[in-house]
Amino acid sequence: MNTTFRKANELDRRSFLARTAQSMLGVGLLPVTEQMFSGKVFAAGEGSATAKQVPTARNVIMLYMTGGQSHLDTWDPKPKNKEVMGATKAIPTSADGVMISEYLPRTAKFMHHACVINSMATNTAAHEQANYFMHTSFGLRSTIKHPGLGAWLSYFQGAGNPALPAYVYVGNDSRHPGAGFFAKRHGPLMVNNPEAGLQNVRPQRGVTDQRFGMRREVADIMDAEFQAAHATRGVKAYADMYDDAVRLMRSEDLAAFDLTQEPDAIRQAYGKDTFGQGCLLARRLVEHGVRFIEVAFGSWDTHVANFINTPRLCDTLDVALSALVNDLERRGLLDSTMILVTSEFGRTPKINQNQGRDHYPIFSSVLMGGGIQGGQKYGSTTEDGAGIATDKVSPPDLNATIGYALGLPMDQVIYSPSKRPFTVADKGQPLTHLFA
Amino acid sequence: MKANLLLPFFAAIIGMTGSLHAKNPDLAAATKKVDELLAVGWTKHKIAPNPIVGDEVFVRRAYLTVVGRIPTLEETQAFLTWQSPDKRSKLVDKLLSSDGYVHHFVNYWADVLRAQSQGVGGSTTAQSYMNYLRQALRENKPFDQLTRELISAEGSCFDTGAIGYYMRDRGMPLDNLSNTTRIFLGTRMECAQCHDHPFDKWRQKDFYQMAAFTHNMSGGSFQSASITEAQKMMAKDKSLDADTRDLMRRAITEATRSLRDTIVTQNKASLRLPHDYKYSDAKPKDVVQASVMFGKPVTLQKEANPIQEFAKWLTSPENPRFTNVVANRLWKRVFGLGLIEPVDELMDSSVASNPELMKFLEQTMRAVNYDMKAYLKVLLNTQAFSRASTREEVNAAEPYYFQGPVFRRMSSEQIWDSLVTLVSPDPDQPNWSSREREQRDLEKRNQLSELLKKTEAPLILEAAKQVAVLMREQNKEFDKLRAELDVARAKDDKERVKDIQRRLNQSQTILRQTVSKCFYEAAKKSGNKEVQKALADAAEGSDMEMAMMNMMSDSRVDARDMPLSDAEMKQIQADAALVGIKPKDEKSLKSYTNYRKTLHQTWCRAAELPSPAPRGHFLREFGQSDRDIIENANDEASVPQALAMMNSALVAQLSSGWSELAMNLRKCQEPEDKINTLYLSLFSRKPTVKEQAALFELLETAGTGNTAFEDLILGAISTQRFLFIE
Repeated sequence: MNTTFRKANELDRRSFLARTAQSMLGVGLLPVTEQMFSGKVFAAGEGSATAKQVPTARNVIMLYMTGGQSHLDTWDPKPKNKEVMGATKAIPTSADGVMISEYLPRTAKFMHHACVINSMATNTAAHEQANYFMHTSFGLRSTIKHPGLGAWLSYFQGAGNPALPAYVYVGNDSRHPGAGFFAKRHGPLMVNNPEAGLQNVRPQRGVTDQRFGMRREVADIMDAEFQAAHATRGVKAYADMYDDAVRLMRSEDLAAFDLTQEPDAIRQAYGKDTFGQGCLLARRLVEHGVRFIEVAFGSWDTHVANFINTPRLCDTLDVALSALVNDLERRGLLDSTMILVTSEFGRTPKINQNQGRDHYPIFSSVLMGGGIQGGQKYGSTTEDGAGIATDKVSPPDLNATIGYALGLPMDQVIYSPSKRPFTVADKGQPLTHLFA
Repeated sequence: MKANLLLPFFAAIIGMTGSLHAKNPDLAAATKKVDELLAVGWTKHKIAPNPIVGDEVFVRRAYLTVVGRIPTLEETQAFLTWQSPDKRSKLVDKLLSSDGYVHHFVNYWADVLRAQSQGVGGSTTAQSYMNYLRQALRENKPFDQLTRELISAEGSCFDTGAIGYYMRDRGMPLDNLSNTTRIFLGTRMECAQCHDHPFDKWRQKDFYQMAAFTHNMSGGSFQSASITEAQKMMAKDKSLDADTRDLMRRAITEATRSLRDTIVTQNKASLRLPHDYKYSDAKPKDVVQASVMFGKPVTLQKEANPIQEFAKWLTSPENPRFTNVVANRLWKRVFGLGLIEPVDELMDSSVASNPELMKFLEQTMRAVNYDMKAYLKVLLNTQAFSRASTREEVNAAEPYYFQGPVFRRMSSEQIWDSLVTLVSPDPDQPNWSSREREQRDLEKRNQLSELLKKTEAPLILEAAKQVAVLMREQNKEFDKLRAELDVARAKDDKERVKDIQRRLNQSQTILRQTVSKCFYEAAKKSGNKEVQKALADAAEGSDMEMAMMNMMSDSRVDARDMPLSDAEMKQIQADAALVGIKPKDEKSLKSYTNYRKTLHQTWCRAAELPSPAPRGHFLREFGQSDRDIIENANDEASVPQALAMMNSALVAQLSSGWSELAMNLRKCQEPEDKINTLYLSLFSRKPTVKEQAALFELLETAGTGNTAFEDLILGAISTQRFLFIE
């Protein structure tokens, strides 16, 4: 009766996994979308980074602070400057000479793993543009969409676990650049609610195995003549896809998405909120071989009442981030997993009339694990927080640093379908001296 | 209802006197000529045309091609049993004049134009833009006129939604020009934005000369003479300190928040070459004179409006590429592939697979004066459109000679709209709640802008001052809350922290109310009679102060308030009886009525949902374009699609009690009828003997209870046959 399942059992697991890899986020029916253009007509890729190394990181967990995180009230406090700091105080951390804001006391205990980059500078103070720039290393244009870093990783190195997507995004920003100009399968699997697991992997309630099997048989009967008459790639792709979907429903890798398998203490430790559980999901995915996970968090756009809103946001970040570092370290995954905390821009040193801070193109990012030398600061802003004092770092530089850790070929020129040449982090230069 | 009962109704709609096409000798002759030219191509390349398809394939294809969804059970049955020699042609007429056509082509043009309901330029202009496109397609605005209106649109979105074209690329005028040449001239120039095009003839200078026509089109926010004046007064007033001025500025920003990004203006600046211009034909930062890239040269007189001149040149019948592109695009809509591919990357070396036909299609497009429906009618009436689709893979690298349409997967919108057809008794009905809400928002924002324009500057200044006073008080409240927060955090008192957050939100609400109150007081004091009248009109007899607050906030619409005509009410009652609700069972009747009234919110045509649908929606999963990039949809298969078809709660609704499909199955007594109905509903044909036998055999084991038919429905929906267009 249950023919599909019978067939499934006969297939060996490995070939199933390999096929699922191709299909998880869409089979590439149109090879032209990633056709590489071979003739170099002009100096494409000029200025891209050439630095190479043995990769230090296998995985990346990117924590994205949506809306523009106030760097002064988090990673770059100015303890001597009351006018800039308002109500915010600084505290010492486990790293000598590294002070962070009082709103991140738990994270302060793990700063010996961290490198704080205080000299991030972007080129715009508009949310959408700056968010896009941070994710892609390119300016927002209305004629092309560039891939996010996770898509580049998938493009160059494929999925870490062929049964699972190469790239997962936990959040609800509908404008995430995703696969950019690459085929859809290089884009992130989008997860809105980390606790909901993968969507639609279980039959509706009341649909028993037998009924599910009957449905597949009905489909087989109705499709037999059609499939024979139209043996096109498109039709075959769908036939495969239904088979793959059925197999995925039975796959043990689905457990990667199942947070209920975690002990309650762990779930509590990350914070029982969407961001905390998203970070926990990221760790589970890393354990199952997913190599790039982004978890987005917050509405850090604190134009009004910054000194009430930022501490509240920091509480959530602090709990989740400290739990994540701690958990990865205990499991021996911190060496191979790089955590990145970043945002689209920072906020003004001047406190505005509504006790808020407005958009500012200077900000901070934090790297931990994945070969990063912990306990250090890189770059600095001036004492009034208004300018970069030393070692300016751009979003492309930061992306190049992560690409370098992952061993991506940063100078390899890839042509978009519109035949325009691109490299991973544009002309960004990796901060190679941050590595241990 | 039996098909033969339906027939008179069906015939009445489209007239029994022969199709419109047959009555228009020019169109009929053009259709014949297209078939002849195709035949010449087949002879030349030694190809046999595909056979003419039966009515079953035709009716499904025609509905999907013209109105973007499968036919309903009734529509299929009516067509299959209809005795008329030219019924295919009559069907085409009917479909082209239906609302379904508007839905289907809104999807297409929204993909091409990247029209989004929540765009870079805010939602007000974006919604007005979507409405403009809907209306243009509904009234079948000639394509050249539509293009001219888009390209030369200036002013406020309350006057024309066409300004959405420039607002879409706000702050990116050069990208906007690249998109314009790609959409309307099939010419890719984005490379030439930064350097001479490496694969085509365009120089960077050509690009800049074209951009000199349009680069001044600029999206912006509401401004008025009185507000500008109030801001000047504020700057001069020595009694105000810097803090107060900042607060007052923010007060004005708050009052005009809903009017952000609602205006496109044309500036007067000169366009200069970039600072790193590296060619010898000009120097960096040279001023660029507007000049067109091909065709008849345009000289700008001193008084000339550059975008008007540009629009005229672009859409002129003599423009060497404009007509070709739209003729080829619409050909592709009908046959699945362009005569030239890609349709938007023409080069001097581009050759159509049938050049004589391409030339004739351009002539036809000019002859019908860019009437898109007339042109589509020519194509849809060809024998070629009635032929079987080509079953082998059409290879992108080789020319295709259109021995039949191209076999293809439905677009994401066609799949979704076909599901809607299976669920909703009225699949083409508008999304009343959304349209109503947008309409109300547009109206009140327009009212607000008129009010603010006419309220005198000193009164606006006074209002801003009052708001500033409240903002100062709010700051004190913030200090208090912050002190409490320190205590709560020290004690790790999560409940207290939550409460502080709640009070912070409350304080923001009070601020918004104060803004509307203060500006209302200002308007009330205005000596301008129009302001008083506008206020009274907005209030419609109720509280004017509330009306002002209402004007500054977003509308809410409850789907259950949808008005129903007597006929609609009767229909719902009749349907309720079919579901088994007794006329006296008022409670059930009410809940069924509410179901029908709210159905349009979930189960309406893709074109009536937000553009694009939210991420994670069925439409996006099946490859709907994000509408960030021109025609960015895809038809790649993916596992999440298969999972959605098999397991989602959404698709499960197809087999639930009140869906149209479930109702139609319920009307059938015998399992045989049920299976026939299922086949006709999804595939527009009956099962073969073999299929019927196999399904009967299955039912023998599974029984013929409700769950068995649920399984039959959900099995049928997860077929490839359902997803593809033969």
